[in-house]
Amino acid sequence: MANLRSVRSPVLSQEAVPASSGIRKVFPGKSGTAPERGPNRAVESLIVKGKCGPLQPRRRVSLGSVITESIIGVDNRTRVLETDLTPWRMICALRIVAPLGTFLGTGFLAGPATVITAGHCVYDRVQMGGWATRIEVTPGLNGSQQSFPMMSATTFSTVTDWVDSRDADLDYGAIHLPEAAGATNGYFTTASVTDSDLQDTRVNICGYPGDRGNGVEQWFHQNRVLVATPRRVFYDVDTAGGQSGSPVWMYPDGGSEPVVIGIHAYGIGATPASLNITANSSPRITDDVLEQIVQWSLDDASRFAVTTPPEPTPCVIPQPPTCQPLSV
Amino acid sequence: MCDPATTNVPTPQRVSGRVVDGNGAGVADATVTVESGTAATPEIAIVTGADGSFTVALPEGTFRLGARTRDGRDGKVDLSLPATGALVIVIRRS
Repeated sequence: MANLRSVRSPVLSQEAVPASSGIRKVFPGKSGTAPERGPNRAVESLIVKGKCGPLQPRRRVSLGSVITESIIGVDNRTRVLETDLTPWRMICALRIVAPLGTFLGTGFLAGPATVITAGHCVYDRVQMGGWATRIEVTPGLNGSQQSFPMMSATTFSTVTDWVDSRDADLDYGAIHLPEAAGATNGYFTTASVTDSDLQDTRVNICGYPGDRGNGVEQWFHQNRVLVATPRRVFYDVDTAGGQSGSPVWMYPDGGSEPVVIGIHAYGIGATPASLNITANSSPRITDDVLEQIVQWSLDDASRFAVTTPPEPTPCVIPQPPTCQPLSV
Repeated sequence: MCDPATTNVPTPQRVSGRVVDGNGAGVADATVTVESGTAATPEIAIVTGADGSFTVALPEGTFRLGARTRDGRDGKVDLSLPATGALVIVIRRS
């Protein structure tokens, strides 16, 4: 059982969050107060829902003994331009200033004043020299267009399993915002779902890669979950450096509400050979991870005069209808 | 479902490098990413300093790094770790 003890820069240690067992839980998101102009063409044309059989066909590229890291075959990513609309405006570009340099990552609003990202975006002893000193967070950044203001954050959290052990299954963290941007932009629903929910589910991933647009453009791809282990989700979705911290989301009931089930963190190299798959991966939002996210969100929201939904309760997510097999 | 497959990310080695243009001048504010590799690397991107310098943390293995300038030009370099010598990524002329 993982000991998900939150550690926070600059103050250390909070009480360990107890893990629960096998109950599906949802921490509801919220629509923001910022107006939504219609139509949302990116949502209409890009996102996927439900479950499917065969994967979308790919042409795989092998460069001798070196396999491309996280673009699996041909690059199938699409740029999102409507980043002032939901859910794209809940996805944040991160410019991370740390003792050993400046880095780029992605995060997503999971509460009124909380951005969730990969643990290595807030703390990495070797790459960054420890804790980030400052992270510039810009929701919905679109090249030179900034529909929402950039926020400079200086307080972050992650868990001891990442800090002490570099455990890829628990590589997640939080950025505590100086403003309640989630109240304006809205924030994602996050959930701990079952293995059955994840099996063959189509997932969506969107973030700010460095190889396209130098971390200021949102790029999207989708495909199917290949394997879900107790603490990680593996998928055949194209990503690149800079997309660490991107939300991995699904639509469990085939409805309009995106539900984040993982926090993208790794390319192909972090997929265990024993799984015999070519896939990128994310730490999975399990019950105890969800409880930690909720705690961070509630703590941050308490600093502002905003209301938050109640803490997660068990709920049943209806099984989506089986969709037609994809044509190959 | 599969057995648990927990992976502790291997402790990496810091490698210093520089992104330069065709004349050898450093390229500031370029983005460096790991495009391919034989070991686990977090999907973070690195921004070069004013003189084009950067530091990347990589575990033992073989990797290809890519660099992209603000105006969309790119360059690549292959390396193997344990590494010796300076790492240079030359940006191709547009």
